[in-house]
Amino acid sequence: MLNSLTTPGFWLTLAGIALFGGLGSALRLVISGWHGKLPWGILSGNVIASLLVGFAFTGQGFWTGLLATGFAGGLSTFSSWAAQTVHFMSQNNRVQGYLNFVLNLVLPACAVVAGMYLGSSLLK
Amino acid sequence: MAFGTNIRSVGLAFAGGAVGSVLRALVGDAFDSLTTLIVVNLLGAAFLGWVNGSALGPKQRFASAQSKVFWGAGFAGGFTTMSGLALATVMLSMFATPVLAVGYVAAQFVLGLGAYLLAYRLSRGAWPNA
Repeated sequence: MLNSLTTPGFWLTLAGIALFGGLGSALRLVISGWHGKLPWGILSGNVIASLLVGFAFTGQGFWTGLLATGFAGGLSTFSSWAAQTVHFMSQNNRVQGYLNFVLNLVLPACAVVAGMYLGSSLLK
Repeated sequence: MAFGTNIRSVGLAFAGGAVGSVLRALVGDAFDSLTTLIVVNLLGAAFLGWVNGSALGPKQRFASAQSKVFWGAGFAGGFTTMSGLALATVMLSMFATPVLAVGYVAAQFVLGLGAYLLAYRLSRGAWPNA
């Protein structure tokens, strides 16, 4: 998405990614409070972000790039998933650990496909 | 990992996430997509392990709620991406083979857990003179 330090759009793109990435991260913090047997808030953020990435993939341009790289990238997280899964395993909550592993493996990928389908239906 | 979601925390998550997202984009500019995902997700998981382990170590670095929100939820969360990994999984299954796709994402999951755990343990017990 970025081109070169010398291109006029470089700094504008970086500023857009910072803004949208910050917004996605802030939203993730808010929904991360939804935490029952599993960290549903983080899982939801990962699934919603993946849906957006799939949707944006079918489009072209500046805004779809900011939506995918910025907002969806900020909303989704790999590091918190790793922390939570390790926490479950270290607490001997193996079922929750395996579920958190498998659900984050399968659901975001399904959401990407759903987003692509939505995007190809609505954007074309 | 529950954080208070007051305005200050949201602002810290925004700031950390903005920095992490920009850094992720810059890494993405330097490498191809699959390499970028490996770099950001493994480094980000290790960084969060280091933050969380340090908070429980002798020096209790990153122990404040503000530090955890900025560096953990904000920076590490914004730097890493699950949606990018999911897109790569779908792309690999479409244009390579499903076996390669599942192998790529499963390997990254396992290595990510290992990176987090290693950094967590090292930082929790390795601050004697820092």
